[in-house]
Amino acid sequence: MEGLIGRSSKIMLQRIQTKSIIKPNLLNLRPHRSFSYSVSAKLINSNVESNEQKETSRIPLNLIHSEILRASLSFVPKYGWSVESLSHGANSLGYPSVSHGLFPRGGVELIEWFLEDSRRKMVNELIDKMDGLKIHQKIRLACITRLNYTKPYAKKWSEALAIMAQPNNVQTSIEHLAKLVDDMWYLAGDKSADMNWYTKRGSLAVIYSSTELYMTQDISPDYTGTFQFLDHRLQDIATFGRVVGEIDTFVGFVTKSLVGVLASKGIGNFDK
Amino acid sequence: MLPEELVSLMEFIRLFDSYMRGLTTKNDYIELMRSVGDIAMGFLNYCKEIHGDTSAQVTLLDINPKMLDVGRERFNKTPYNQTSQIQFEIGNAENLSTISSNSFDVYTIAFGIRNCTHIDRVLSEAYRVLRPGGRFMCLEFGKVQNPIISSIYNLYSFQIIPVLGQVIAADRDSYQYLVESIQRFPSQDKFTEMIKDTGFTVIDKGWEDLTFGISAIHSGFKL
Repeated sequence: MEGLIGRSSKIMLQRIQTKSIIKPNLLNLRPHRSFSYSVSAKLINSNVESNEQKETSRIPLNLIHSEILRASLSFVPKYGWSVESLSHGANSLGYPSVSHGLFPRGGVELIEWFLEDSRRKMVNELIDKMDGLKIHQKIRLACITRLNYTKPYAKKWSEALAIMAQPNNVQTSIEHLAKLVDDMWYLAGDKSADMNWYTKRGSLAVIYSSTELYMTQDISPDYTGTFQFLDHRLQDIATFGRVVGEIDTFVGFVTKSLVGVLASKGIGNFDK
Repeated sequence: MLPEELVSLMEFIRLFDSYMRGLTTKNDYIELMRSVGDIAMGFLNYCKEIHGDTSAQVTLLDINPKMLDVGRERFNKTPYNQTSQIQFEIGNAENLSTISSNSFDVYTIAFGIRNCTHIDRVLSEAYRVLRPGGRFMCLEFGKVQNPIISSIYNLYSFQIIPVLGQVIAADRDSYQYLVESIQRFPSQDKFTEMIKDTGFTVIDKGWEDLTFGISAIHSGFKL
């Protein structure tokens, strides 16, 4: 009886964990967001550990999923983001190639896991490194760090982009990009609470995705061309931001002058 | 075989092909109670033609030696009878004493599990003989959810099938048994619960309905 209760609660725990890791709450994007991802990852890990103490012979399911996905990544340069990579990955861990059925949607699941995993790695790597840098340098560092994770798969990344552009997958790929730029701005210390919050993330999303697209066809050694492209795009945004500010000032000046001229002619509201 | 069995079997084979995509290394595969070997034949053909692989091994198992003879005759006409790719064994699905644990990659049973007296024993034996990561697949009749189709199907099952059995095969009782065994078999979600209770890992819903739920393909992984 205890065994049964233990097992069903463990299975329940596994399902909750699976939900938490594979499909996290993706609509967590609000301006003042607490830094929840690494914290929740630690909580899940501690649940997993207590699970293992109960039944040491059974590895929790989400760990097996992640292991197979991680092992499949090394086969991506050869087989692409596909079921073949997944079955080779499963084989390399000693599971039969039928285990690719654990991922019923096939290559997409590998891509989504890779995006999630790279984002977490970027966050973990950069938490300590952001001191003493200016904001645009922090953004630049975050973009470079994240692009470095895509480097080994750059030749096959266009295939991944094509898969992500399919109608079934568009929503999740947009959500992944949104979470990525949100994390980047959070790491850069963004505290805006107005329209800037949206414009900053929107512009960074455009910069980052165009840079990644550039990377897919970059043949320069060690992708130096890609990083130059990134720098140019970041400068463009800085210039554009400044130009918009200047236009704003100029228009304000012209309007105030006009009001003053009209006032001198007796037209307009006066506070008497 | 009933017409709906045939249709479902074709669908099962087609889906089975998609599940078996990405076959790279030698895969050991055990098929139960369908020792006429439809799925086994399809699987071996798939391995040879699509992947150029002739190392896949299939074991066909049945409790009835006459069914195995039918299967042997069928395979004698194919190029596989010379190779060691296909093996026939007599055994009881509830107690696979001749099969060692952790020895197969895939276990399939099509339209056989409802005939077993103790379904949970069949499931636990399936769990035992599969390797970690191995897949259990079961094609079986299920319950129809849609009420209109359900009433038509019930009418067809209870009124027409036994009569056809009497007229064509002079064996009303077997077909009456068939229809009653379909009724007795648990619904798709109850059967999925049984599969999970045995210890299998079930992905997503765990089953796929064919023809409005007249048949369903259940799947589980041993992890």
